[in-house]
Amino acid sequence: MSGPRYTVRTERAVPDQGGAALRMVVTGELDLLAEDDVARALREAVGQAGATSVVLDLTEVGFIDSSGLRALLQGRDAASARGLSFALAVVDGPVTRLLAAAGVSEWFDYA
Amino acid sequence: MTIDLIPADETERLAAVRRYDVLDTPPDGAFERITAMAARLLGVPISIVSIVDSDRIWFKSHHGLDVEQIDRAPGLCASAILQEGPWLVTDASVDPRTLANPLVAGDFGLRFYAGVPLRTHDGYNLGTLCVIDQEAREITDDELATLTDLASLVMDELELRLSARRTVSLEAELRRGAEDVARTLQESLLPPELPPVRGLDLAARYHVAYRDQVGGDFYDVIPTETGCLLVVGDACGKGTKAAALTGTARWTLRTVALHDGMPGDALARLNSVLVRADADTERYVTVALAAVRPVDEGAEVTIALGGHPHPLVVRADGTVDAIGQTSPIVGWQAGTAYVDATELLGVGDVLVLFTDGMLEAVAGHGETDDTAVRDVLRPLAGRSAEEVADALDAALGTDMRDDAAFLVAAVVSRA
Repeated sequence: MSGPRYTVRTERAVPDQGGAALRMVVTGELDLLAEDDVARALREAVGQAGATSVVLDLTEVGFIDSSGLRALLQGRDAASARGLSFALAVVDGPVTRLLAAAGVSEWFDYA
Repeated sequence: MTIDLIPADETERLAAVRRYDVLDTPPDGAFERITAMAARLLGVPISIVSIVDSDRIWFKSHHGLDVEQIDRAPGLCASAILQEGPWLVTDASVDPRTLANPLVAGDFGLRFYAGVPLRTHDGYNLGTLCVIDQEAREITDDELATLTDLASLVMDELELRLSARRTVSLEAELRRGAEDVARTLQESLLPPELPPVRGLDLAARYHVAYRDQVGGDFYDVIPTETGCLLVVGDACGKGTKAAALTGTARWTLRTVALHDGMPGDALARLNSVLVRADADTERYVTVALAAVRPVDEGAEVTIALGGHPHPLVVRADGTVDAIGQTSPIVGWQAGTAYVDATELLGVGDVLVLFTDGMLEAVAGHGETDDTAVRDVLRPLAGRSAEEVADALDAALGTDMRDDAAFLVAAVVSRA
């Protein structure tokens, strides 16, 4: 195995109406190896001054397992605890299949 | 003569030779370089790193001599290891210690020998670094100092290898220890054997992906007044935290199952226990919980699924059905409700509960579709639980990245 099989990138949109919209893009394999990085990036995004919303873009995630799901749930909970809106951007694929199999599709908002 | 050449501490010395584990190892560069240097620096044709075994002298490196070992009896190295310091013979043909020696008197015609013992830190001479010539000659103090330094290099190299080997075997021992702990812990999370349940023929399997890691999969069979509860679950993550969660989940289910009649209620209770118990570690489990009640001509199964793959039923006619209705994962969100679904099974039907690790081992990494598992099960209608479990075992791929557990319940006649 050479190097991470995933990437995490956070984009901050130009503030409008006094709040910042954050978009975090994760690509690759969201598993035990990626979990810590993704969870940390989500905590940092949610903790950013002025942030009002976080969209987690998972459209380029090719694999996700139970550890990856845990990172998504932690992000959702952290956003909710700070009063931020939190939404997933997904396409039909591994992410939506796992959310459905775990019975948690309805626990998330979608962008 | 041979008796004279046996050191007083020979038993311990031979143990030291064994400890360094160098006898009969292949040639290697470090020792080849040292003997080549010794021959060049002292201007002699032959240099040898010898190890004195019980009955032979074995050459770890033999520069300028195409012989790998000789008998111990005539070997001059056997004499050299009786010394603490160098053993020198400048003209063996006239030296009373060596003139009758076959290597000296015979065709080989050895005349000059200088050997420095390879002395371990605890004082045992394993063998020598020696130089040999077929001409008589003297050795200067400088040359002897060089030979002694080179002998120290040989010994350093041997010590280094011994300690590397010890590190490797220590690591292997630690790993075995970790595997033992993992196995013991894992075994404590699984029933030692499945209890007999009237009207059901049961089999279970558990496969670990990594022997030194405790997985999060678990299964259980809990007898109840009306039949039994079948449990297959999977704790998120790996290692001891997952194992602790697995243990909590399994024993909580055993307790709540006695009080809560329906599987959905039991999962709701488990959920609230885990949400409270697990606030800091933020983990969840997925569980398939099936209450099986034998009835006339079969069994009634009520099942609740907490974010877990749908169990499959192989009907006696060869069709395969997924049963249960998906509810959310267990242990994350307070107040989650779990839906019961009820299914009637006939005699000959086989119910299979499994973890996603088993599904992926059969269908491929990352797969959530159970088609491949259905394909394995379809021809197994009417077979015994063990036969079905064996067939599933055979279908597991070799590239297992996650633990795999499954529980098979074949409905049999109660008569």
